[in-house]
Amino acid sequence: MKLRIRKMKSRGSAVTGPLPSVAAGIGPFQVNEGSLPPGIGGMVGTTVDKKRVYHTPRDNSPASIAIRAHEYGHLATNRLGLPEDLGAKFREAGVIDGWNQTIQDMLANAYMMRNGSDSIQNLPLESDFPVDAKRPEEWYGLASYYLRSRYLTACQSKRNEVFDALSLVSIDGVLTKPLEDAIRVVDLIVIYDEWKDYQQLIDLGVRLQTVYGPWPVVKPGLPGDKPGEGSGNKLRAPSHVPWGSMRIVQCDLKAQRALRRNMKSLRRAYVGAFKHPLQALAPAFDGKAFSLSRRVAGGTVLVDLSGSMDIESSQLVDLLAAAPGAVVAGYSSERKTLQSGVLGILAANGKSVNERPEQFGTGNVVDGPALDWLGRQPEPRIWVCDGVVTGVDDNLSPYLTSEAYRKVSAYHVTRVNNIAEAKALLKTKQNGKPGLKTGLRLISVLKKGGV
Amino acid sequence: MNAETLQWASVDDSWKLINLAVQSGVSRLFLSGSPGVGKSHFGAYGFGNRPYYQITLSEDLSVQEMFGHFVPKGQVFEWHDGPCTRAAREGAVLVINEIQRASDAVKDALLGLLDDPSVAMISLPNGENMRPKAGFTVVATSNDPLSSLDPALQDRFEVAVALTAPNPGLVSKLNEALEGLGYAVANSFKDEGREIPPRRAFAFAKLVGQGVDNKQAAVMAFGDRAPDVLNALIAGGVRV
Repeated sequence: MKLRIRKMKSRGSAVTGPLPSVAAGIGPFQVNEGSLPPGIGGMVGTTVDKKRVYHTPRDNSPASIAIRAHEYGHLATNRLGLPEDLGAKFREAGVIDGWNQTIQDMLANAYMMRNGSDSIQNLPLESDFPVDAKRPEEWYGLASYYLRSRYLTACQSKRNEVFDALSLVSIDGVLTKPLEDAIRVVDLIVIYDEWKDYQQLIDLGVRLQTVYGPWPVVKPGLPGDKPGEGSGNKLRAPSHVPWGSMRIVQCDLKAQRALRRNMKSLRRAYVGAFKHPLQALAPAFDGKAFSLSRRVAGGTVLVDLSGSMDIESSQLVDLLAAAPGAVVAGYSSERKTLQSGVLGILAANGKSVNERPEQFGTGNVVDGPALDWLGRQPEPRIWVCDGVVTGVDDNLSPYLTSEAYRKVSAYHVTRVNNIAEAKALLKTKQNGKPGLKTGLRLISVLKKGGV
Repeated sequence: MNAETLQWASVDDSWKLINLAVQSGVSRLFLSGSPGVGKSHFGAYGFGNRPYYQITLSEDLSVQEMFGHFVPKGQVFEWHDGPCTRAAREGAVLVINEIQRASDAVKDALLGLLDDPSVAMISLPNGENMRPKAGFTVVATSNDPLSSLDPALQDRFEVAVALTAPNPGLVSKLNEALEGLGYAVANSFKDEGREIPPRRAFAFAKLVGQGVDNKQAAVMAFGDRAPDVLNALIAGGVRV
């Protein structure tokens, strides 16, 4: 692995005896010192004639110690089960070497830090990195820097700067969430010794590259290419991913919903009909002398029923019960294709489905059109989705993500991650608390009246 | 003895060769290797409960000290066996440490001692012609390879093994002292010339065991190599 660093001069003479075989558990290594290509601080690897090489500065400056420790970290991760040809596997998945390097750097640093080597904190990184997060073509550099600089104290302020820049252009944190997810994946691998399960790293690389680029330019297909083939890269340039077309279906609403009981119930409040005079005797009582009908959560709930949400039939029925007054709809790709999607009404007008309908597929594909539909429905509008949106062929794209979150903002939609969060939100709305402003106003009126 | 040679012989550890030699009844062994790999330890304890004598050679050590000399006792001089003579007389194990440091006179004297058992005989100054008792075994150790000795002395050893890794018993003891330390030290021997000295590793484990900060313990035990050794140990899975 190569470590990209800022230009660094070796300070002092070589005083050390590097021990790559201890970290790698195999040997021997040819230990080199001296000039590396510009920007490369250290590297370990195998030469064409199968010799293992460990190439680092040899003095005991904090930066040099950190570089050696970092390279030991790489050797340790290979010893623990990370394949040495992981780069090739990343390339097979269409992920550039830069993301492979970034993810492996994170693993090496995380492993060393977790096991007590704080030397890593002095690892030098390049000081020049893009700062304009408004330009998506610079997201790769920003995200890569953010992830590689984790644990490095010298980079902390720049790391914050990067995060702030990405946060500014993200909506609902969707642009920074994959960064935190990436850190979590790496941490879990280190904590639970899941080194051999490298597929999750490949998946992580695909996701990072999809969200932050760099995105390959899709060349027009040549005569004879099959449909969809262009440059041959599995990842599309973001502008080439459209939403799928969406059809709306009426599901079989067999079940009667329990609306009446909740709608009739009353609750004590500071406003409404004067039904509890005793409560008005403040300070002995709380002043809630009035009565209001309990509000039933109306509005619209849109549920992402794609595979990533992993919503079972029982969970869906629970949600329908928790939103007795709301129109509830679900959407996903079609069952048999990822080119288009379907939106089904799961509950409306006092009736609902009693199990998850079979029309729904595994992909998202139509998040955008579904949000457009939601925007035309009564408020409040709740969107149950993990934040991952896709277009045709279930492809991710930062532009689709941005568009989806612009719709969320424009349509006054509240997004929740899962069914449990949706139920909690609906419960809050049903309780119908009058809110701080109403309460304060009432208290003011009561005081003026001498109560 | 490089790894390829061992691999060719289907042996992954040079210590196995030595054990095979002992089991086969070899009586003159030459062991070379880095300091602290356990050469002397093997000489002393590698032969079970057999009695052993141990002597460490230097330029100043004389033949008389090794083979014996007269000592005054009252009005007479009495013969006093040296460790070599005593071991030969008893059929014990004689461990000769640092054989490469011996003076030429001592090396010459050793030629007779290391002769084939069927012809070996030591004529002592007291007039005794002593033949080594059956079972007499010599284990010579050195940091330098066998080729550093003169050809006649080289020829006296039946088996010469260059140790490329620390004794497995030593590895176990290091692991007991600090989890994973023994394996890490063993792995360091794969990079010839950059080994972690086992004695220093023991010292490091002892200091850490006494509650000394691991960086400070590393500096005391390994000097300027401390950052490298400590980080390599951590990467190597040692619970520091």
